[in-house]
Amino acid sequence: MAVRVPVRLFARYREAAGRDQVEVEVPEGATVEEVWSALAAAHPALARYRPHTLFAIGNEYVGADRAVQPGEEVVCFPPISGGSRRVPRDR
Amino acid sequence: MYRVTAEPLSADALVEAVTVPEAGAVAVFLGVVRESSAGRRVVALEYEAHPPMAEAKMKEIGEAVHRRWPGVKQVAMAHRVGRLGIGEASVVIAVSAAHRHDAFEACHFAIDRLKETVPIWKREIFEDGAVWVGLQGESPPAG
Repeated sequence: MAVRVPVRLFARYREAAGRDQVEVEVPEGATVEEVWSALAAAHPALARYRPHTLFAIGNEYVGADRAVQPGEEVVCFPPISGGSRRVPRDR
Repeated sequence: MYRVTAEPLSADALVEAVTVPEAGAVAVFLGVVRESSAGRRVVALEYEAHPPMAEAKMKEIGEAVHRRWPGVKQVAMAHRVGRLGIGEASVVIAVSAAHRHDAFEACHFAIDRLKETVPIWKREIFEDGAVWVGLQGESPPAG
């Protein structure tokens, strides 16, 4: 069954998509990576940013293999400006 | 106190927030807008945040500071968003401790961690354009 997942975008991703909130349709139990793929298909300007992208659900960073639970919003953003390009360590 | 705000930052307010009777030292860090970036003249900087996550991540940094430096008494962090002119403070961190060594070290740690983990983005405004900071190595648009 397909579900609609809300996605929020920040900084240049918001500008590339032309909006800060979108919804994508994915199979139930889809991962963050599948949400990104649906997002990039709907907004091709975002596709080239995948290698740099950080994901969060709630206030926590998550990996691309994380399954999205019903009701969760996926947040996508570029590396934060002050830091290195590594995924932040949550510790 | 862990806060993202569009209002000008007050270092005094953060110092006041961390000053407690058990503290013998307060270290304060201010990040301010510099007039140039990689040789180009900066007119202003624009900061954008994911505020609830940014405040949650700042709080985690404060908790990490307390675990690592038991002598630290209080930590406060504030980051500004919106358009800032040259010399304006974008971030303020204040740390109080029984002794200065812990205060300096913990303050240094806190700003380094903030720049790694707190979701805030910066756009440099030049006289002839603007650029988001980060992704310097990105490939040019296809086609």
